[in-house]
Amino acid sequence: MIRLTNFFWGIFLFPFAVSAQHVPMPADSNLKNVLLHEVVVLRQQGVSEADQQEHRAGLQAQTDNLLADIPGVQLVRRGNYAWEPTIRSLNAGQINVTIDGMHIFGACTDRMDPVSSYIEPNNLKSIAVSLGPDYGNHGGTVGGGINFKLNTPQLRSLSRVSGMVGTGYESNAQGVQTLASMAYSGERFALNANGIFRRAANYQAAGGEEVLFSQYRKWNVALSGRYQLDRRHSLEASYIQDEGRDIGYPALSMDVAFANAKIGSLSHHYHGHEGRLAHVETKLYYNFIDHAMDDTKRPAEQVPMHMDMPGKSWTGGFYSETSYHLHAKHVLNARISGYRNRLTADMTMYPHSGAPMYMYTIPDAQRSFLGLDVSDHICITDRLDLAVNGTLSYNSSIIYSEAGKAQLSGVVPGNPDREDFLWSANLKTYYRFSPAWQLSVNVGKTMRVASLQEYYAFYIFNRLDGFDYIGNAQLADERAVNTNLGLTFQRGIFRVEATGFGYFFSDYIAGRILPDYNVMTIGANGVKQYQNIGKATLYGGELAVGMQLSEQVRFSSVNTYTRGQDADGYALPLVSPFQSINTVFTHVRGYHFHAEMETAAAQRHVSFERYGETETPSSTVFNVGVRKVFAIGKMGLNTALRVENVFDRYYHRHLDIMKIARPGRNVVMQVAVEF
Amino acid sequence: MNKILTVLILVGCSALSCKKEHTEPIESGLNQLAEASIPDGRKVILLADKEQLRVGYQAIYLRIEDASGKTDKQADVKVTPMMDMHTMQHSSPVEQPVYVASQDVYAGAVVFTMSSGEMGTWKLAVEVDGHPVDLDVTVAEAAAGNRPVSTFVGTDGTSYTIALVQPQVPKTGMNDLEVLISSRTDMHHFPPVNGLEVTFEPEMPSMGHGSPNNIDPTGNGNGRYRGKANFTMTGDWRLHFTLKRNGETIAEDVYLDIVF
Repeated sequence: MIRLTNFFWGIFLFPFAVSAQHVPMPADSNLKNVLLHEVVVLRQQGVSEADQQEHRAGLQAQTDNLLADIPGVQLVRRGNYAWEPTIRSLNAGQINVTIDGMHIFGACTDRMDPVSSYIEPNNLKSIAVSLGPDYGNHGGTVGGGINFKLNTPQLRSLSRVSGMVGTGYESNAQGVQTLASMAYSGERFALNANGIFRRAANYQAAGGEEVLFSQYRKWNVALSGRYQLDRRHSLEASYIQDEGRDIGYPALSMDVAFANAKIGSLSHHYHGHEGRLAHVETKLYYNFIDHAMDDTKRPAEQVPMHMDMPGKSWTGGFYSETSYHLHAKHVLNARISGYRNRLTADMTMYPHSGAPMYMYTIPDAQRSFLGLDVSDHICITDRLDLAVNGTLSYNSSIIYSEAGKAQLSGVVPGNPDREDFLWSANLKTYYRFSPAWQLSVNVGKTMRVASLQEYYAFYIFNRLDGFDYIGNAQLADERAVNTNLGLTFQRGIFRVEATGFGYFFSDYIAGRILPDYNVMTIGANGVKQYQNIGKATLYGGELAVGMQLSEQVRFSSVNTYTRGQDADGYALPLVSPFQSINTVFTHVRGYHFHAEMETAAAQRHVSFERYGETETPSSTVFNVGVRKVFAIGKMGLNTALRVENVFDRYYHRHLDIMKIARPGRNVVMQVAVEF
Repeated sequence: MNKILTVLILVGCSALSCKKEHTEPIESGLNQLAEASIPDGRKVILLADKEQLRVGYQAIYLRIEDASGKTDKQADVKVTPMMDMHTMQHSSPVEQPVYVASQDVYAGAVVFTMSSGEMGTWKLAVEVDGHPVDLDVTVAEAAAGNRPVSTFVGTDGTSYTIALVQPQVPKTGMNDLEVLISSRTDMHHFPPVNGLEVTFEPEMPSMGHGSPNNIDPTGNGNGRYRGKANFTMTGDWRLHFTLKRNGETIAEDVYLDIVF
């Protein structure tokens, strides 16, 4: 223990100087642990891929921070916990967020429980992000997808038993995380078990300003097992339980009493080896999300009326996917998938005098989905690849209870039940001009059904614009033409990746004011209903530059820009301004340093009138860090020290709801023993 | 073991005896509230679809039986509710019973404007084929938070009564709304009022909001006005009514309260 502490302080006191000493030592040479896996970003994003790998090497990087570093992904922040991912500003029903292909839908009407909050550093294998229409989206959608791939048990690993135990401390919010993983790897049977406990008090913005109601506490346990039936067939079972308690949301008027998720699956894998039928995977899954908001910790003057707001969501589904090699240069992928999601949320208000008031906020809604994804990838010449992806789907959306129908009938007239048949298709072309230059062109047409919230919301308060939202079961499907142009250049020490994209929406879904409606939420500005507002465009680009300046020094710059406006010229909401993350990575004698500058330009292209957004000033913060793995016999001691927001800059970003200031200086210390 | 058996037997007996004591509904959903005989030997039985009568619009059912228990389907039945307030007596709006074959009863309704108690006692003065008989009834207060009937004097100097006919069992969502409006010509006559323009606004007093998509009641004859009320949630609802005749406002902010 003493030795361990010494190591720890040794790291802490090590100066952050960037050394130019040439000591040949390949990165991560002493990291052979099975628990470390790279983050694969499903596009040629070699620069950020390398950055991700570095960020994860400390074994304790939080999912939200990993997502924030992926170009094109921005996070909507409502507090210090469970940030909601967006892809090029598209969010919620516009993107598919899945865990190992499993659809999961949050139960919170205020979007406090994004799927990403159930993923922890020790159950995550990789994050696959597709920025547009793609086979990897698991069912079509307009805006791309994020699929979290879970750690899977590995058969016949180098060591039969391996694992890690670690803990981390964050000075700012007295945040503590303790995590452990165990893996057993046999000839036919393998098992993974891991758990994490995290808690944090209120964090402080710059200057020691305490951000009230930003605390959280959670634990997460994941178990998975794999059994090999024979050379080609194996079975896998996986279960995650995640329980959050007492989670503060400073940007919202309520906190969370509990947020529980149970996520389980059973799957069968067929591995064809050299055969044409390369792979077949079939999975059955079920998940249950139980969520309850809480206003009892807030000071009385902030709570005009106490209320309970619980929500429940379960999803049961399946998919079966296959990869078939027509010949060496022609691969056909197909997947059939289906799920049923039931989502219900309600609210009970307790006035100071009078009877309690009860209503549904999501009146017992159900979505059933059946879809077929197909991808056909062919290498036409050594230089030219073509891939055609398509999705066909059937979606039914209904209110499954009489009470739900009765309540909704007062606000959304007519039959609330509906069926939608959708298709999406896109064509990707890759062309290699030369070993250095590669061009990719992606053109597609996509559609999505509105989310159950957009169809059936019942006076759900949106803190962003201060309006109560009601659903609209008559919404047309949102459609988009998606274009993406990518250029990659790699020569010598340089790698440049540039993309430009455009989304041309029709029947874009957004809230429109209903002037004759009374607000329900005390203090709300008015009532909006989800409507198709016609056309909208979203365009922008990403530019990543990587430079391997020497064997020890690498520079990376990841820049993103998005701009969007609707048919009437109003700026679309939740669009991140120009952002630039510039990082220098270096390593010497096994010490890995990084120094990072995160800049966000001001966002002045906003519409207060239509979307309730106000401008956000620019901000730049600096982060530095060092890590090293010390070998202790056969074990590794993985230590990391980071200082985030080194200069204690007071700032917030455009996607931070209610412009709540982000944390000031934060010193993060992490240590993990791998065996 | 014996002890357990004893307990079980005792519990079983008490359950049975309870069942016996309970007022068993004569028809499905109808409870007997009072009974009296007229001189020719026929019995007049008062039934209601509730355990007890309450303030507000109350459906009442009368069954006329001869000595052999055979029901009389062709009697001439008239009901006059009477409130005896010691120093004075008054009646209240009534819808005279008519024979309903499906239930084999005479079905009508009374608007009870106040509860029985120290202030006074209610009876139903019934005439069957000209034979008078009094049925004593007890009228309980409306359930807490409810105001199913309101009496007011209009700008035309007339005293009016507005009573909630529907919904009797309010639910969240769209509800059929029906009110009965009567006027008072004297203490014993409360004829229905037709030809009014009725508008209303629902409100939750504890939150200050209303609800969208309500439909104002329109006249349906016999003093009945029908529309739709949208209750977006459970809780206390106040329905504010405005009554006009030929564009002239007779009454504003007459309200009924509903809680569920």
